[in-house]
Amino acid sequence: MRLNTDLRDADLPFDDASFDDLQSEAMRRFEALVDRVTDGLMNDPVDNGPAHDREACRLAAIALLAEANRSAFGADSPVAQVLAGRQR
Amino acid sequence: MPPINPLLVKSGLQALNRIGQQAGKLATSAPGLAEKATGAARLAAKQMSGLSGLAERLPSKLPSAATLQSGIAGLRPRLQNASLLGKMGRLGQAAQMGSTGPMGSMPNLGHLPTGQFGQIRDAAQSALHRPMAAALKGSDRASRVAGEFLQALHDIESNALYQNFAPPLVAQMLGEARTGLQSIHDMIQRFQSGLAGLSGGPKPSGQKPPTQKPTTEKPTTEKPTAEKPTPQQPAAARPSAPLGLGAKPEPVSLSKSTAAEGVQSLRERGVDLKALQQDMRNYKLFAQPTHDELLDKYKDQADLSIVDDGPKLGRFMVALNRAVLADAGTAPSATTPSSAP
Repeated sequence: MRLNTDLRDADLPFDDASFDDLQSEAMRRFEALVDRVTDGLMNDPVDNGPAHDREACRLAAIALLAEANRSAFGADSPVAQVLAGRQR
Repeated sequence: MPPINPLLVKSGLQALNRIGQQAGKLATSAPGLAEKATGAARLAAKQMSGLSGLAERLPSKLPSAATLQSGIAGLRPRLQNASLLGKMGRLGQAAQMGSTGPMGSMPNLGHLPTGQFGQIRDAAQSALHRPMAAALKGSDRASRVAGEFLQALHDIESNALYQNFAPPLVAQMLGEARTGLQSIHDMIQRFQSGLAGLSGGPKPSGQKPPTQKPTTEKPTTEKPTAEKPTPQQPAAARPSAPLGLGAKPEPVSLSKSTAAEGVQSLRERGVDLKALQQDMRNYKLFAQPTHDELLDKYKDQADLSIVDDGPKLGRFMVALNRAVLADAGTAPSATTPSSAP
C-alpha cells in the first residue's frame, strides 16, 4: 500500500494558518460529497440481493470520486493536493 | 508496471478452478442456492477464459502480481458463504448486461477494464479492500476518507469498485461527483487567488519557494506589517476625513492607506474587526456574503474594493488578523496596529 509521495510532498502556495482554514472547509465539503454519492449508490436498482452494505458503497463512492477527479482535473488536482495536506 | 508473471496467471486460473468446484459443492449442500452456485461456477469458467488473453488485451492495466495473488487468496473464503453466492449470481446478471457494453458508452472511462474481467477483478478488489480500509483507519474519519481517496487515485484497481452498480446510476453519480469536485476546486482557486497572501505567503503566481515548507515561511511573511510604522493618524491623513465628535467620518479607502492604517481607521470608525475578519473569510471561502453584499455592508466605514486585489488584500488581512488577535489578548507581538494608543 502506498500513498502518492508526490502529492504528500507537494509544496502548496499557502501558509499554515490559511491552509488550515481552506483544508477544513475542503474536507467538510468532500466528506459531504462522499456521503451524497454513497447515498446514490445505495439506491442501485440492479441490486437483487440483500441491501447494499453502506461501507462497501462508501468505498465505491470514493473510487468513483477518484475517477471523476482524475478525468476532470488530473490526479494531482488542487483538491487532491489540499486533501493530501491532511496526511502530512 | 512489470510484465505479468505467466506462472501467476496460471496459479490464478487454478485457484479460480478450485473456486468454481467449491461453489458447485456448496450449491448441493445449500438448499435454494443451487441455481446461483451454478451461475457462479459458469461465471468463474468464463472469467478463466477471459484471463487467458489478459496480457494481450490489457497489458498496461493488469493488477500487480501481489494484488492478484492477494485477491485470489481473499476470494476463496468469501465464496464459502451463501451471501457471496448471491452476489455472484448478480454478477452473472451484470455480465449479461455488460455484453452490450454499457460501461463502454461512458465518457472518460475508456481506459478502465469492462465486462467479465472487470467483475472478477472487482471481486478480488472487494476482498482486498476491507483490510486496506482497516489499515487506513486513522485517528478520525477525515483522515480515513482522504486517505482512501488518495489511495484510490493512485491505485487503478480500486476504480473497479463501482462497476458492480448499474451503469446509468454510475454515470449519474459520476456527474454528481464532478459537479461537487468542481465546486471544491473553485473554492480552492478563489482562496488561492485572494488569500494566498493571508499571512504573506507566496503569491498565486504559481512560483514556489525553492526549499521552504509553509511552516518555515512565517517569520518572513509578517514583514509587510512589521516594517511599517504604526501610524498615529488614520487614513493617511486624509484632509476630508473629519473624526471630530458628532461628525460622521468618511469611509476610509483601504487601497490608498497602508494595511495598518486601514485597520486603525476602521477601528476608529467603530467597525467590529472580528466580524469584518469573519465576513471577509466567508466571502473568500464561500462567496457568502457576495462581493456586493460585503462592500455594501461596510460602505459607510470603508471602501473594501481591495478584496479584488490579492496582494493588498493579503497585507490587509495580516494587519486585521493581528488586530483581532490583539483584541483577544493573544497578540503575537507588540507591533499590532491595535496596540497603538
